[in-house]
Amino acid sequence: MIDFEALAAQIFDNAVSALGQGALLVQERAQHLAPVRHIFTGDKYTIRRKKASEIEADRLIRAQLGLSVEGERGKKWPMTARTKSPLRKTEPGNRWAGTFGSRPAPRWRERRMEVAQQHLADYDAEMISRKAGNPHQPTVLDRRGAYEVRSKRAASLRWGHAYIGGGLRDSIKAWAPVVAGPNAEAWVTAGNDEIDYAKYMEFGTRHAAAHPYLRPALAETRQEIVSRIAAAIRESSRTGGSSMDIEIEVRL
Amino acid sequence: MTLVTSAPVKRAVVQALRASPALVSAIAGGIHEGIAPRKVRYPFIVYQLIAAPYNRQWGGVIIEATFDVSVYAENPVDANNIDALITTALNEAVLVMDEQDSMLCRRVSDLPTGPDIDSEGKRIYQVGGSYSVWAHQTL
Repeated sequence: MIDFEALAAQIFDNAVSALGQGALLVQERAQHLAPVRHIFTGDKYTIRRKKASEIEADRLIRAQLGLSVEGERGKKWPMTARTKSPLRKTEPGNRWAGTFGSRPAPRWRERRMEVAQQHLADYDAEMISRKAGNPHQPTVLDRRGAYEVRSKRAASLRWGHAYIGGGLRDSIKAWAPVVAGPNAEAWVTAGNDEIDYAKYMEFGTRHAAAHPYLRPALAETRQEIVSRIAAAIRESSRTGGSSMDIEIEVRL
Repeated sequence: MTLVTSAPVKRAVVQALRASPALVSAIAGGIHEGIAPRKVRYPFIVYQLIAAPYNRQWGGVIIEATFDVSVYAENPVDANNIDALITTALNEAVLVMDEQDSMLCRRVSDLPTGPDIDSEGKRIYQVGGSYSVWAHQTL
């Protein structure tokens, strides 16, 4: 005896679940395709922080050269196996006061923003110098990049960390499928209150060519989504509540 | 046979637009790919390939291309009239392509674009649509 209602419900649930997975596929592909504006002059420059292992590897060489520990201008830590901060955690003026352990917290977010602001200050100084008739010197930020950093459009938060660039990419989001009667739909959106130019990147404007990322993502993953939904339906119809094999052909 | 890319499809779309005398006489600024130069006169047309995934079949491949075709004009009436002419020229058209067969050319959606301000401070209206163009090639 087959409970067809339960079978249909299970098939539908599995299809909706596969639809949600398909939305995640589109999100992943769209994030790959989303344009990330290059704000630096040249092609290969980017703000890259050394890994902790690289800093540790350079620590001894820097100590021999009389350089401070990276990321801490002007501070020299004793080069011992068990490094202790020369400042007490409770000492006034110690900005690491209250942090856990004897080593200062990395403060990656603040450091990234400080680097960007430093590049912006360098750019402004260079522009003043050029206006004074001095020869041109290269700057790390280009004109667009200086605008992006100054207007704070270049900064984006991802997983609680600050990044320079990639705001549009991080705003792309796949929403859980919504079931309305016999239909289900899943949305993948881009943009938010801060990233208000998502539409212009997708469709273009008079001033800027389109850099489509959402529709190509859907076009490229459509077959995969259909295959996943079809597989989910086949699997649930095969195992759902009966020992009988039911053949269902999916045409979408 | 050698696999043909979406370039002939793009060429065929432009040929279909240029084959309409009413459309050609209505656009003063010509037809451009991606973005038009700054000094171009209004109205003009901009087209862009959005996606062109290859759907491989037994014995052939179907390129399922999507194009955006937009009109930029100084008033909305011109923009909508020219957009209607584009639709007439492209919707259900049989495109002429080398080594490929035209399977489908259809307007699938309007573009949700609005007026914009250009570099001279003029209000510019962008109206257009997405077109799905399928081309089959026997391999």
